[in-house]
Amino acid sequence: MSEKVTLGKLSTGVPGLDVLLGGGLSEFSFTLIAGAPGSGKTTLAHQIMFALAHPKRRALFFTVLGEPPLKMLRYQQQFSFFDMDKVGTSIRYVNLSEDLRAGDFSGVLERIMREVEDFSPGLVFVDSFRSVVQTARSGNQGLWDLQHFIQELGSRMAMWQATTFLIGEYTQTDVEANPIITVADGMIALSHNLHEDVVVRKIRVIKMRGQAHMGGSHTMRITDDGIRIYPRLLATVPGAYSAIERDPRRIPTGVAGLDDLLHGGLPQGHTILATGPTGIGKTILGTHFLTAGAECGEHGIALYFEKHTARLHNAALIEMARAGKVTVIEPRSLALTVEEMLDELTETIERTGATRVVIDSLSEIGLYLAPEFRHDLRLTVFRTLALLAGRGVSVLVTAGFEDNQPDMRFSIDNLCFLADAVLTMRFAEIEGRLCKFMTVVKVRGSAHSNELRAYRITEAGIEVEDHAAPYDRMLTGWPTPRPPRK
Amino acid sequence: MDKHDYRAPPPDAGMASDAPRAAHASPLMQTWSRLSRQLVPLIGDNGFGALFGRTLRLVAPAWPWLSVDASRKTGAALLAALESDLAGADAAAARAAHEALMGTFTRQLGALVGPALTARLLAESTAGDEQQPNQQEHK
Repeated sequence: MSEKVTLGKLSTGVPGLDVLLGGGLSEFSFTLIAGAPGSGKTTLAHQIMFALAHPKRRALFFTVLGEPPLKMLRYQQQFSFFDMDKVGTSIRYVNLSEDLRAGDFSGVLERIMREVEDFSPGLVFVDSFRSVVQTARSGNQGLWDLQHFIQELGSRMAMWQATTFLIGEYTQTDVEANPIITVADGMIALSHNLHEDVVVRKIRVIKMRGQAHMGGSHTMRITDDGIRIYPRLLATVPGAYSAIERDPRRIPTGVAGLDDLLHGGLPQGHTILATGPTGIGKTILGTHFLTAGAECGEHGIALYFEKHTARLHNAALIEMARAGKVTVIEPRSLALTVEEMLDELTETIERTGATRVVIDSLSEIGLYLAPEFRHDLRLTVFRTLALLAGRGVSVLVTAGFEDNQPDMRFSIDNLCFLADAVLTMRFAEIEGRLCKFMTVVKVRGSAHSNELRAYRITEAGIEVEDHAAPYDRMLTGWPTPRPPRK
Repeated sequence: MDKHDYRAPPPDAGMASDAPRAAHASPLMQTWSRLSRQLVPLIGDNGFGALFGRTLRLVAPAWPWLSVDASRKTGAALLAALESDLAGADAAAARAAHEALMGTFTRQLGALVGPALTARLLAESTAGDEQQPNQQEHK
């Protein structure tokens, strides 16, 4: 039997943070939460405190010279995690400003110890730590005093078996450069840097002694429920690599001719990418896909990046939305993070039980995304489709691109590699008319037709011919009649 | 009531006759002392002083014998002056002014942190108020 000490792990109550920390927060550890003003340090500390504090593990929150305590209480209670019943009983606030002004670090340390002895907390927070540091005398003596103070605080809190947090207005560079901070067992840095007029919040666990934490910066959001962190991980797909689905259930796409090309419909849970130039009928196909679902009793989600006026003309979609069969999500932010979008998708899927999703279109999504997500559209789409695959929903995504015949391409930004099935829709000039045709490029794990079929958009919808178009060189845009077989 | 709309009895009411002066102020001040003990650790002496100073300014126009002195910053200095003022007033006026101050102070705090948290923060310091008159009777 191992006689090594087992580190107790505390679940922080901050979605995603335990994953970054490598399973949770080490009990009795001494962690620095650092970041510029407004980066979410105090909120993170409060969220952890309210999640962990209870009558048998009480918390002491020391305020120093940073945010005035009354204002902190005023704003923090806006978050859903702020449980009024814990204030006073499980959580006590103590202001140290007088002690700090009156004397040196030893006075502050003694005051902290008196309060700790009186309240016997399992959690101790000091906010803001930088204001403690700023009182340090200059020169070596000041540095020594400060280092001594931090070491003393760290070791005394550990002896009291209190998990301790110092909250400081440091930038990430400050934290890594400051030798004093090496005393801390853990360091969590928050940032919110401006990039092309857009701010995306980030969190980074710089160190966490005794456990394998996730490195790198990860996106975080502050919502009414507090902080939510998005580790750079894909969602797991239940049953992946443990079961083989030899004959997946087929679902109707809403276009009979397309179902025929797909040999009976789209395999349930697949993502089909429909690509083609403007006016080719991608949005109409999306509406048919949702209608077919509604007719089978499936709830649908329409995630639309088209400008709103386009939807006003889509009577079928409006009727389904009014009937509660389809939920329309129309992002309005022009600084959208992929996490925000995925949160809304996830919440809507869970709330409505949706099994079909249409995203229209990937060629417009970039107009809504914050720069870092826009610059890597492929990763954004990959994460989105991975989430939807994990949820087992069937998805139709559209992507438009300018026809550039005779080039044979099936999508923008190599997005066709990310989908399970690809349908390409193209124009061709035939006998003085601009005609439409479609073909299925691929369907993972399933046979499908490879015919190029002409189709028309009529009052009845998309009507696909039941045979291959009688032309050759259609993908060049200038087809020639195929000579009859001899 | 709005934060600025406090109204009280006529301003010249309530000055105490000569004796007995300080007896009625003491139990009232116990409430303020408990309140101070409860809040100063939380919001600091400066925070308490600022909140009490603001309260005094709102209430004082109706009670001219309440002294307002901007140079008093600490909780101790403000409460010492209040004790002296209450002792100088007759018992009924002192109690009325005390209640007006307490009500305004509570509303000021409530406007900042909400009534629920205010009630929680003040629960301990105001818990003894109901017993105060009886305690006096036993003296």
